[in-house]
Amino acid sequence: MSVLFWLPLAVVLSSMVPGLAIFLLREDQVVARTALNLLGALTKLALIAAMVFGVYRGQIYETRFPLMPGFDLVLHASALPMLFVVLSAVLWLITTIYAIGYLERSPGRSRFFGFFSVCVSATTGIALSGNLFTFVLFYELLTLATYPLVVHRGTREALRAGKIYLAYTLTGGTALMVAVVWMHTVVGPFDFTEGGALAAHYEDHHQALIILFWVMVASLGVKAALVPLHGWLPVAMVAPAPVSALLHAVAVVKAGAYGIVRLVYDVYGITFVRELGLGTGLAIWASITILYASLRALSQDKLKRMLAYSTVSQVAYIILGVGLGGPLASVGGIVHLVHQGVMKITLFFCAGNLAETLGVHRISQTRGVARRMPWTMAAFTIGALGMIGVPPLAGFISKWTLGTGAMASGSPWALAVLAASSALNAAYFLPVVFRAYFQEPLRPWPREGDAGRLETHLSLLVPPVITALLVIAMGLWASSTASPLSWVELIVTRIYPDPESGIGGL
Amino acid sequence: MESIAVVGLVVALAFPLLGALLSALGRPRLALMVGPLWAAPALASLGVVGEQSGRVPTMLMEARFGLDVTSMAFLAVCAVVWAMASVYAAATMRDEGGLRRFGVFFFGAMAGNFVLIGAMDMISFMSGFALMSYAAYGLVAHAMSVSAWRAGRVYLALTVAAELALWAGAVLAWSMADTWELAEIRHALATSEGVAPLAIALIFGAFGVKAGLVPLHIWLPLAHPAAPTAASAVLSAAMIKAGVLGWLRFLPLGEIELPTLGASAVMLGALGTFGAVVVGLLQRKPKTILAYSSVSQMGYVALLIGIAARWPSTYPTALLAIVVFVVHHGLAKGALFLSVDAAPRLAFSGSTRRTFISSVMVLLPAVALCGAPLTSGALAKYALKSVSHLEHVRLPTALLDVWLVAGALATGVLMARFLIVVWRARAARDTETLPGAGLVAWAILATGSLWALAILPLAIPSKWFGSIQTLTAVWSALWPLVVVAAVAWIVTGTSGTVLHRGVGRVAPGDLLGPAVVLSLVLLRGSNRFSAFLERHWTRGLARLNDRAERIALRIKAAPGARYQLWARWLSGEWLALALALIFAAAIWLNV
Repeated sequence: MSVLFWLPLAVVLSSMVPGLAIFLLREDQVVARTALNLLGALTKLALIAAMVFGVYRGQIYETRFPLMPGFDLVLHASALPMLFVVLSAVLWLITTIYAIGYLERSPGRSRFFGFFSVCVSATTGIALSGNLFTFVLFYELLTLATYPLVVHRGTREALRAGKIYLAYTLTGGTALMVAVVWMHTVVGPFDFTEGGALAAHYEDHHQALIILFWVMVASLGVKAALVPLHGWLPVAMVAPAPVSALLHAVAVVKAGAYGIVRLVYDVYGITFVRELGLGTGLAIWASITILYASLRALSQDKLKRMLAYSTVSQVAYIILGVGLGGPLASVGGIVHLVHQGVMKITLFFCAGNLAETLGVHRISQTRGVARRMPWTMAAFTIGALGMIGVPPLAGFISKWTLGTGAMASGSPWALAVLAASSALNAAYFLPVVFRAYFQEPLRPWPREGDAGRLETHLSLLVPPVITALLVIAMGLWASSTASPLSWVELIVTRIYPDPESGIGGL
Repeated sequence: MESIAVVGLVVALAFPLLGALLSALGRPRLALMVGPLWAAPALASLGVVGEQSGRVPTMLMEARFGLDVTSMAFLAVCAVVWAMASVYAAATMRDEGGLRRFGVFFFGAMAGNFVLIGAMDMISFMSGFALMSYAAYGLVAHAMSVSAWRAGRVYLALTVAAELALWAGAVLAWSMADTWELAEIRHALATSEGVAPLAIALIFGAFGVKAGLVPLHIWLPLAHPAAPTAASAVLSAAMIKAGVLGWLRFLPLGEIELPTLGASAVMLGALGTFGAVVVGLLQRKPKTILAYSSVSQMGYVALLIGIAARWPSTYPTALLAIVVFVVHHGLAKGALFLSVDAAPRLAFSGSTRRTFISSVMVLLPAVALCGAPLTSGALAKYALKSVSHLEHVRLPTALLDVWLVAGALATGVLMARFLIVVWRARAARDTETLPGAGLVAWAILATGSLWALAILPLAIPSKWFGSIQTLTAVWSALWPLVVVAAVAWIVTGTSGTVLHRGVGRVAPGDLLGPAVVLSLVLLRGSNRFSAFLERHWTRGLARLNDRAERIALRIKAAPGARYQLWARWLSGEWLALALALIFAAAIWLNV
């Protein structure tokens, strides 16, 4: 067994080990905790950087332990997992920096950062898992590791949110587990395969596989917050801002969406999904989610609640791209996994800054806030415009690819959905921006944080600015080789087995 | 070598963003004062880069940037107008009220405007267009007054709608062309099959919003008076031209006959040309009058587009005419907007000499706009005439001639109204003086109608020049002015005419009022309908609830053992499991 064998496991452990170590620290050991956090995040980034180059050249990294007959624990790094791993590692580093500033004076930091790291390990495990069994394992771990983060504040509202969160996600997880066991009894053990693992089995089990598909989509859809399974997400926004940021950008919601992506591409295979006629249903479900959540977001006054509904809508873009089928739409869907993550984390950082520095939680309180916190609001504006899909920001690249993908796969109706969603996005994001820049504050801020020369604490200010710059860069340099878009195009050329079908326009 | 030039071009076009950065860092006045510095690279690229284009493979979707004769003219006039407006803003705007914010938005819009001019592929064009459009919101709503907010809201609603229409049109166009390059998009759209007509309609409408095409012009008369003077100058002189360039870049003009587009563009253009004059005459504010004048003038451009769409062989001439028109109108309208603020400032000092200078500087662009002899206006008018007299244009020549003369007279009347309003307002303001820098900026734009004639020959056939210098041409350009002056003299002298009574009766944004009323009525209707639905829904729910409670009561009333059994069955898990099993079985049997 070479070093390469251990590499995927090392990536998972690089956040797990510091996380467990942090549990042992006393509350006041700030330096040790920060050092552990940053050490973990940087180690992880270094390991991943090494793997990215390998995967780009066609190398596959795999860790495999047989747990029991037929059930192997497989961590497998190919192009699609790497995308998600890179996203989670980069955003984890940024969010850690943010969280250190955000929770500076609040109690229970060791517990918080411990679970935070475990949560990230679980996400990495989900990303790298090489079969459904491993996926379910980490999926459940994520559910449990996130709960203490949601209820971190310990208020009644937080506890209630935690209860709702557990009710939803545990039910979804149980359903998923049942479905996975069922699938194993139907087709036997298998690993995720680029191009689809089930292609060889479909002769006899059409019906079972169709039912299984919907059961699995529904159970993953709980975390991916597909309407009507989204109820927990707007409630869970009581969590501290860094948690919400990570929850919405990479961890929980994305884990569900990523699960559906893998289900379609690596379990069923895109050609098989098309054969069974499952894609259109998925796309329609996603469209309903997109429009419904956008409509709900319109009438919210709590900023984070609005952002939560926006997440519900934006994550469904990913499902829409997957459901539409066809290489271009797949590119649009998968690249939105990254783009939405970076944009949404920017918005949550900014919302957190407003809450932490000025005590502003509601949209109606944001009048004139841009003069007090210009850089935060500039980052917010970029994130919001990205969400609307204004060129040349990251959100535009996803929306454009989704749109052209919809045309290429012969579903022009999806254009109308995307356009309507953009209009709604504009209708709920632009008023916030407008208030912040073009109205005068009516009364003093609910709380005036002591920030010194800067508008807020440095470690609160830098993360949103960095991610906002990323939003611009990912759009502006979309066709450079280092961009998410190029990486996703690489993934999609590997997913689509038939070179003749082409990946038109790429 | 080529690629270095193209990258240089991109940097030059995006250079004003540095001005935005400088403003953001707290030196907005300095950034605005050195406005020409931010525009200089763009102007220099006209000479250095010249007519070429190339790819920047890592940017956007393999962006293509470059210049051609058309875009060079657009870039030149836009750079001059933006630079001068910037200087003027630095010289006259007050510090309070967010000059820093103004600087950021101003330079953002400037960079967007430049970038879209140099863009040769859809994505880059749309990026520049979006940057310009959204940043311009900051200019419109700058004053933070109720009217500015309202203007901003209307502007933003139309802008978002236009962005979406453009996005949809571009995606449809892409699906036909399979490329982002605008040159090939035009080829691909040159068909009447498939989604091409829809794409063309969406794109035409999207750019129509920016270009003030009736009935999408309603934001213009609101936005211009609301914005600070320097901002209205660039809005009207530079930004609405971006819509025109969009038409030229995206639409398959000159490649195929587009009868529907041609007919609608000609009709809407004609409607704009005359309708805007009528409404404009009834306005009180000088900037509103100028905004309507812009709508009217853009009507000519729409007309030219329509002619080129209907008769493709006229496109080369029509394109030249549009370029002449854009340069002429950009400079003259920029000067006129500045003069609304600058003339009273200059005249305020009281000396006769200054009043005289300011009168001349207001008059010159105004008469140029009416097509006064030996100005760019005469050239623009001649360009219009030569397009309409091309043998391919199968409209009756007499009709076109009458139309042109009527158009000139209408423009003249509107300008006369503007001059009268400005003249009456000269002493009514508690004005400050005009700083030297502001005067220079104004003077450069105001004399634009003259010096533009010295630059335009680079692109224009010499025949056009020769023919505006003949005596008959001078006379034919002069007499409408004389007539207008006479009419204006008589109307101001009398009182109680239709015009006098009508002033102020039409709110700025003419069609906006009815549109708002209509949408309110529709909204109320839909609210009533949804309330109706909701009432029935809640009643139905309540009835269901009653029934469930009745069952629950009956169960609770049951004796011990039976109650326990029922209770277990009614607890969530059993019920869910049973439902799931039934559901699964149903699917299983039906697939």
